[in-house]
Amino acid sequence: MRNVLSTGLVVVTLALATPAAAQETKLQVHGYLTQAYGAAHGGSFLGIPEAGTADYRTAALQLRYVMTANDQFVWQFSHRRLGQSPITVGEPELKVDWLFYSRQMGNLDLRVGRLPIPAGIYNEVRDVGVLLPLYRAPFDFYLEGAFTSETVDGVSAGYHLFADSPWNVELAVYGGRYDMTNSNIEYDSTGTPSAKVPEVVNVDNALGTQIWLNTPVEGVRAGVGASRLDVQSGNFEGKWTERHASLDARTRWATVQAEYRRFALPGIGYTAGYVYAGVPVAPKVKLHGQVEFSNLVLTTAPGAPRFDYDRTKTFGASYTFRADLVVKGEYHFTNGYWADAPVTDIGFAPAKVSYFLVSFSTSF
Amino acid sequence: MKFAILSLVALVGLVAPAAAQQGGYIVIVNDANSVSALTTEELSKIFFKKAQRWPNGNDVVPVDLPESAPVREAFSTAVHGKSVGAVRAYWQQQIFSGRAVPPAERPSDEQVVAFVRTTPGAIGYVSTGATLSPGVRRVQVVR
Repeated sequence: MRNVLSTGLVVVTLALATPAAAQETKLQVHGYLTQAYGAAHGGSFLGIPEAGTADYRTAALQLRYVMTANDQFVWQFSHRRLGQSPITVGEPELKVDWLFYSRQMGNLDLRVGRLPIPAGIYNEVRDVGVLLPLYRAPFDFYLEGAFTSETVDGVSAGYHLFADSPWNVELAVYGGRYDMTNSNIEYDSTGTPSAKVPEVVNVDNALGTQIWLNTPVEGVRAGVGASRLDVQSGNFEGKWTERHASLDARTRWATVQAEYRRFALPGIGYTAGYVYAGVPVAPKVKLHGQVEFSNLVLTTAPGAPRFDYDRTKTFGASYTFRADLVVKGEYHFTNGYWADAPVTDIGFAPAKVSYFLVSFSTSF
Repeated sequence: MKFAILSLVALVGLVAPAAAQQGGYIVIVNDANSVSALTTEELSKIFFKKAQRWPNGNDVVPVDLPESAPVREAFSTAVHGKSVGAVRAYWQQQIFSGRAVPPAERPSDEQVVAFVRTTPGAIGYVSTGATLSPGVRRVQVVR
């Protein structure tokens, strides 16, 4: 059944994935697909085993009903496969990703429903391969499948301040609730980490904001954001707060991006960040390099010990046939505690796992 | 006198229709629209759907030619300062963050003219050789 649904969605997406003319009917259909093959060395990471897997993709179909120039309903359902990742066990093949009503009033954009969270450079488009330089948004910062959500059931408001000025500000606030999948580590009878077990928890009272300052230099902007949330159960129950800062510079000569975030949750501080650089070396060819890090502090333990949670270096290349058809190859060297296997935890040796991904992305 | 000539040259340079300099397109609006000239910056905002109302209160309804049309490449470069591919990437970002969708497209100059003629708030661009029917008016493009 899973394969039938997956294949069906892939076929539908590909069938529709022509460089279609912009549509003007009241009902508009868009979508994207990224299909990858990956293999790991030294363990498995984010569902990528040493034996390799092609069960690795993201796809979505977006239906948009445009009632007037200022009112629309957006319905997006998505599909994700992460190889053998325990995080996606039990995840439905198709899920309602977004379902919201949007009303534009001048520079004010109001949304109600299940909507993408405006956070950082990539959260709203984190699965759209044609918009990402690598297969996924930087993992240490954005995470995937656990300790994060890209959507919220609630409301959001966006406002464009000084819209006619070269220096202008885009402000967004949101509030609501969502489900978050946590990843718990189980220990065997000898006290050794033995398995990663996902746990879905309810998140209430989520409130957040994202502010972007656009500069007179086209493609260059800086942002800050913050959020707070109440995790209602599980090992990480309690109030969480989060702050982040972003720099996004996309010029014709190079793209440079850097983001930093800090989570504070009961007993734990988690900081993460990355620096990415992409350079076009030929009209359709771009080289990519990225350095990521994350640290973890046990804030209530004696001496508040700090651990290097992850260090990842990534190199890649992409070939853009068209803006809606991109092929990528990338290699990641990780050293930390995010690996699926070997299962490890702070206080034990970190896992050194490297993996590659080859992918193609399309959209319409 | 020298100052006056230089000033005149500068003025001509500023207000010369971009179409003439790019050699590819002219911008048209519905005849009911009182706008007679637009800057490239204003045009860019219109075609990126950042400007939503005409001074007369009508909704702004931009209409594009297909991405494969040479006129669209000329328009995109002159008005947005971006290639058609870069503009497409901009719209992908807008679509897949749930914000907006690109302007409607018409496959030919004739159909752009027909669309603009029948849509009060419409604005489009066509090749310099296109035939403009009654009900459609050319707008001067100011740099």
